[in-house]
Amino acid sequence: MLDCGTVREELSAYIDNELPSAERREIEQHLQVCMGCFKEYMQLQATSAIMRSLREIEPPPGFNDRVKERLRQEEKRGMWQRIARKPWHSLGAAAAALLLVIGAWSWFLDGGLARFPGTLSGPPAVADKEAGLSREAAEVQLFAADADAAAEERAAEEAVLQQSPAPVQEAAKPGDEPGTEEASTPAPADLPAGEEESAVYEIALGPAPEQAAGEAQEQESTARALMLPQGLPSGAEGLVIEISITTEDPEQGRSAVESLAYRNGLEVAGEEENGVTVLEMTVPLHLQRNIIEQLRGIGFVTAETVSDPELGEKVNELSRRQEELRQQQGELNALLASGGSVAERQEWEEELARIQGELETIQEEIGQLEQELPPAVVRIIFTQ
Amino acid sequence: MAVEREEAMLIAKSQQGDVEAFGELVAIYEKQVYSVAYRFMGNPEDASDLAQEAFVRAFRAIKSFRGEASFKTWLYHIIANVCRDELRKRKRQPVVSLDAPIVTEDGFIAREQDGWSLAPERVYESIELQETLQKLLNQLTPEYRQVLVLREIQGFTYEEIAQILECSLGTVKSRINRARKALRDLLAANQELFQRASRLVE
Repeated sequence: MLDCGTVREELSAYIDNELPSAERREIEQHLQVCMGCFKEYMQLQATSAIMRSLREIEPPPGFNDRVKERLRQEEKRGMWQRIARKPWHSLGAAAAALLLVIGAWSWFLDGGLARFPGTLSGPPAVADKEAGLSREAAEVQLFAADADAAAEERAAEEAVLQQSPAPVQEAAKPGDEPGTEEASTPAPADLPAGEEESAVYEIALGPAPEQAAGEAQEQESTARALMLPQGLPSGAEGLVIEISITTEDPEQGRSAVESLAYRNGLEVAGEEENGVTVLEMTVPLHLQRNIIEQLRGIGFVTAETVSDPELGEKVNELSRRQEELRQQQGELNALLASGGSVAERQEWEEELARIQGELETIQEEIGQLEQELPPAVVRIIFTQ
Repeated sequence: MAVEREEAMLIAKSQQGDVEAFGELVAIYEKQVYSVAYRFMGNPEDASDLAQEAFVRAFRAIKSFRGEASFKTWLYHIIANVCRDELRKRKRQPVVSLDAPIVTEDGFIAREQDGWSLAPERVYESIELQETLQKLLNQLTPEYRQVLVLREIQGFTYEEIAQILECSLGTVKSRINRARKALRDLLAANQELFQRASRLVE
């Protein structure tokens, strides 16, 4: 026979028909003989019914149009420009970005750099190679036109006009894409954006050949010392993190990253060449720790570097503490929901209030950082 | 079946950057996504902003949508994250205070409120009561509100909710139970509502 405590924990699952039939029967038997639990069951069921009486609500008129309008605006500006409009643009857009690179150091050390010219010349070159990425290419080019705002507006409008009516055909004829874009983009595509992008790639990849092969132990610290900080413009506030991972199956790694991104509604774009997969995604700071931890599970991490270890540690520490507090909060809420003496309850409530206060402080700090800093651009490189 | 094919086609077009096709997807899901946002946030302005934001994010990320979950689940995942992030950014709403619960000898909270357990569905039909209920909902923690909205309003299974919130089935199960108890206590503590409900039930 089940005890009341167990039954009460299972009541909602029972109401929602989420219990296996054996357990279900046990609960039913208990409810027939225990008035207290039966009352609790009736109340929870009533609560559930009341909640369900909440109706769906029509969005305000014009909602759909506003969403589409926003999407068209974004198309116009282009993804890169959206990033560039943040205040840190002046610091060098990509360089100041929080950049996470999961790369295969062994591959770099093998001289793989030369085999992947796309990484040195930046996204446009990479993107042009495949139809699936043609939009990014267009966006980069649009961004490049930023120097001349009027030209950009014109170009963007034309580009949108040319792009949206026949997107499928576009993809089917990748060869047409660069020409089309160039024709509709008055300003050439090698303006600041391109420079900044390739700067980051060079920062990320440049030092690798200088490293002696082997000595995996030292790779991380060497990479840390050599790579990003010195490459960043002075005064850059952004955080650049590199994680190098080797997996047995880069394709699997790629889909793992993509599903991680899509579950979180994050942007991800990628390219594959010579068995090397490069992915890039934008991650809000508050998700950084969580995302990195999940990325670590994808394959064997051979190196991990942080451009600004202090800042990285600060963000991590805040997230860590936040998780800890949330857990405590959950436990206390569970305690409170399950009863306790008056004195105990008061103690728990006080503790909850204290946790609440600390959480608010942490959230403010994270919010502050997110206002000051760009979101993370996660660049991931897989090799076998 | 035809509906599914049409949706798949719209998704494919959207993945190519077709804003119009995505607009049709928005038309299909806007009411549901907006309602979730409204129940989370408790007011139409935020709901509208965040539902928009969710759709924009969905469009940006749609290339990576591979149908591992249904499109609807995926959208809910995004709106749930958007709302949660927004709530975290702001000052936290007061945690449900489990107002002065009555503790009986066996340590459990029990109130004499059998009245509203009879036919509550009808009770909350008026707009006014819907608003009152939303206010109570706003007093719950975002985590609690989230699971209740997903379960009660959207009718997701525990498994689907676990997918949307990226947590274990066990967490979903215990959180829904705690959330329901918290809401039950709020309902019980709301004397006026309770009385009106009782009257209507009688």
